Amino acid sequence: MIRKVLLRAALMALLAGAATASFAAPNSAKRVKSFAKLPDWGGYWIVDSIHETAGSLLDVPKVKLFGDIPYNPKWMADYNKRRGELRDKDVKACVIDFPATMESPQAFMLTVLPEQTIYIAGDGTFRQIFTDGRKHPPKDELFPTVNGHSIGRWEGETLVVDTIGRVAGPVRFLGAAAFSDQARFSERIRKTGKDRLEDVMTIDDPVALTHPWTVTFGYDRTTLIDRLDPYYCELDDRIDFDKNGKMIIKPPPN
Amino acid sequence: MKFRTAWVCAVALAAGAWTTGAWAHHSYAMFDRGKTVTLNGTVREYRWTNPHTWLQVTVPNDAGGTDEWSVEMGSPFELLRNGWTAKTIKAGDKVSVQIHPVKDGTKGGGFVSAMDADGRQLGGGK
Repeated sequence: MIRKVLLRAALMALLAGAATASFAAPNSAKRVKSFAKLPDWGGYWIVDSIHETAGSLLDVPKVKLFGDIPYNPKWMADYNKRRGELRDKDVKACVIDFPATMESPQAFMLTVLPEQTIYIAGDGTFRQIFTDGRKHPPKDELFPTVNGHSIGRWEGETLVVDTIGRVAGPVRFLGAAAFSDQARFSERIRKTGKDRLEDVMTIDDPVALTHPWTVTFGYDRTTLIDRLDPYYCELDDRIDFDKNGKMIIKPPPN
Repeated sequence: MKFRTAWVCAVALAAGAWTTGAWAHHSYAMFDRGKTVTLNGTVREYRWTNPHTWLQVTVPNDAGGTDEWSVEMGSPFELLRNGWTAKTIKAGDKVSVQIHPVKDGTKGGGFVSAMDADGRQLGGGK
């Protein structure tokens, strides 16, 4: 009996020790010290290539992802076809994926932790950029997603990001560039001013592009908002379809 | 003259914009991009919401009554970039709103520009 109690106590002590170790890590001196090296990317950020509009539904000629994309002829033809559909047909998409999210009109926030940087946009899009030293999953475990798989490392206060494993096909956010599932996205994200952030992105896609394409996105830290207002596109969007697939405006909620 | 210039600029921007597509989550085929309608009315509601801000405007009609028009604007963040806030206009304000109307005659459209009762352009720049 005494032996059983002692064994149980030893087991409990072992489990408690393991739990303590895993929960103590977040407050370890090493981790606390690593926080001090991280840059201040707090607050809310808005991309600067949106402000040329009249604040309406109108196009944004200066949007980088509408730019001179070095597609090969096949992908350029597909791109032009989709852009034509956007102009002439009733189509809608609610998901904003990567890389389009980096130039979306939605504000976003960044939570910089030693192990990862978390990107959350107002439309609900999120990215995890792992900086804990992990590698990309092997090919048979890299199940492509709309955002791909991102790993990063710090070079001073610049976050260097490598993203692969993004699903092929059109970017769901309409009108922006599409890439194949072979695309690799290299980003260098850094502050360029007190309230300025920059993302220099080079896209290498041997299937879709004739050569790697570099675009630079700029962001301003805004004090115009104090929170992100999430929305559920299927419910909150008044642009909808009738039973015949024709686009309609739903009545206001009240 | 000032207002006229602003109006011409807005239309020119709109015309150029529509030719190249849009940064948006839905197409604009439902709107008549070649036509601009001016709504002179009263704001019933200004709904500052994602994914789009909506302006409900009550406009007198030929029958002596009123019609309510639904005007789709950009997302709040796009509007913030252009000088709009959730308080730029409020229910009861007299406004003049230019839209590209819905093709099928539905009382609605895509926002182009707006002026307040004093003829000042609303929003209008970063």
